[in-house]
Amino acid sequence: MAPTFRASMNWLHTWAGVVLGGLLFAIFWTGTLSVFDREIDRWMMPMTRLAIPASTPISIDSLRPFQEIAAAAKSQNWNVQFPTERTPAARVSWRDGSDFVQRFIDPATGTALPDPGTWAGTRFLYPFHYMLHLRFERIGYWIVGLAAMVMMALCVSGVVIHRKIFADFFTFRVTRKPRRLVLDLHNVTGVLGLPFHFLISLSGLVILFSTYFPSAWQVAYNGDRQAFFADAYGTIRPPSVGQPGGMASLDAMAAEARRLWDGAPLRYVTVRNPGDATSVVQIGRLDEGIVSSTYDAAYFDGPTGKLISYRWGTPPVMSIQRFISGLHFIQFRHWTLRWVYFALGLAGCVMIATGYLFWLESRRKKHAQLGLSGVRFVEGLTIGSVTGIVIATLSFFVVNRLLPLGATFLGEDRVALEIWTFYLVWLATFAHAWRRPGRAWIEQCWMVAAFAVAAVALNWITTGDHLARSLAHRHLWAVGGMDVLLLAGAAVAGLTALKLRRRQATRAAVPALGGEKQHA
Amino acid sequence: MKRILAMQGVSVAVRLVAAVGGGYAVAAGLAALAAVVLPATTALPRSEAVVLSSMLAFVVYLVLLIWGFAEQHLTRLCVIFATAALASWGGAWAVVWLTVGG
Repeated sequence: MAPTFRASMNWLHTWAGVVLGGLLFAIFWTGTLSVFDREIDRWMMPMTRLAIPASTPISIDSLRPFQEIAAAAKSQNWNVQFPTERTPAARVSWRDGSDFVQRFIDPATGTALPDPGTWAGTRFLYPFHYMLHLRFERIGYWIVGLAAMVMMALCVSGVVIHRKIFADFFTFRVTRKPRRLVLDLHNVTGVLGLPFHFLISLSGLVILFSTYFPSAWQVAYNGDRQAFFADAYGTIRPPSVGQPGGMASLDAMAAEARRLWDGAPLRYVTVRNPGDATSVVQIGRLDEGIVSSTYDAAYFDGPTGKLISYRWGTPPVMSIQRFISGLHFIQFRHWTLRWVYFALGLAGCVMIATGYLFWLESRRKKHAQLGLSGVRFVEGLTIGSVTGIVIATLSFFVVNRLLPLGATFLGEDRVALEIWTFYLVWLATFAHAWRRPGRAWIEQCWMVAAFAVAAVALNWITTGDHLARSLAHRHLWAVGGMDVLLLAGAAVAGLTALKLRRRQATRAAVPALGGEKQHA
Repeated sequence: MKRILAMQGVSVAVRLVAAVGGGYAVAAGLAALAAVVLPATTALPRSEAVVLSSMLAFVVYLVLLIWGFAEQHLTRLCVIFATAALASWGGAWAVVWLTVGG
């Protein structure tokens, strides 16, 4: 469209970034937090801060009462997740109408823990990352998918418009000119993180290939999604006959599955059509040692307990798809890599934020001269998208520690109250940013610092798990780690606020001096 | 001046629809075509062909998006996208019809 390829890519990079940067920041931010979603769960659900479970497996047969509840609710599936290092409590879940019901089980006693009354990391922050909690017509998935495509286009156009990509790798000039500084920061995080940012977007899309390109399976399978899934993933989903049926020992089936897999630990047991004569039991392996997120599962006939099939290995193309998905899901056990993902996710957030800042600093003077309001609008958008979502997330943590279990307000339960807090606070940060230009960055940085410190203090007051205690006990490291990150974030936000205020003071002083000279 | 700005706005909107919507239509059509052609002509099983063509469609879509914003002639862009979309979707349905008929 512009006369040269590079100029076209410059146009695309600028405008795709400005229009979708806020959405991309929200996806990157919640994705980065999702790296530690199970740890956030333990921080927000104190009843699940249990000792790391011993290797002895829990009895699934002892959880049968929950299966009967699921069968009575006519749930299609009943699922048990075994405890792991990152989720010390076992979980049972099913569907009751449109509601997803989940109960946490103490593996040591086999009893249900009190309802935590929160969606925490795994059910709020993580789904926000891939579908924004917009369920209507799966619109959230499509928005995130388009954002991921745009992210890849931004990576490509960003490389094209760079004249000195290698030199930029080593260039970071801490000068007094903020425009130069933010551009260097944008380039350093962009160039260093380029392979990560590109692959994390592509792998996120590849996970949901059947959602984003349904044309392929629709044409090849004549619109039969179940037939395609049965071929591709080996899932067995028998139609329910509506006749009650018995259930053989689930523990015996689990033992058989373990034997088939040479004693490998198990991840989950799912009963399809629970309570029905056609029920099928699916048992999955815990694959913490490999990157691939496999679908290998053993299938048993529910009423008789007889093995139907078990898959060991996936066909080649599907293996590639599962490997790429595994790269994105990081369910493998590798703490160093987990922290690297977290750091690169944060680098992505910095890249998006500095991209906005560069756009603003390059236009501020010109827009002021021409009387255009674009800079003011985009600056509000940037502040709400960057510090705003951080404040909203922190308010989600703070309100989690303030609301008592079972709290309701205006007919909304505790889960909904936490989520309302998140959205309302986020909305308020945009209003604040547009109402107070010039002051909003500093004030919101202070808010980040205050909310983060408040979250740590409230965790101490309400659970007794202060830093000295949580860092001393291995099973509380998730809590201690989150407290440390909150305090580190508070320090960064506080220092930023101080620095911004100092810069504003010097800026204000210079024209004042000039004015005095004129008068003299 | 105002008219030029309005014309620019319209051409940007057309380009946006062509690149994002047209590019998707072409990528989805090519994915469907590959998903039925590969199992008919090679030893690749049907489900594997679907997974392979859907995954490659993301790369195809990315290339089309980039080209959609780089191509200077808007008319040429629209004509090529429309032709490619019709050809790929038509081809995919033709293969389905032929294999079911044969």
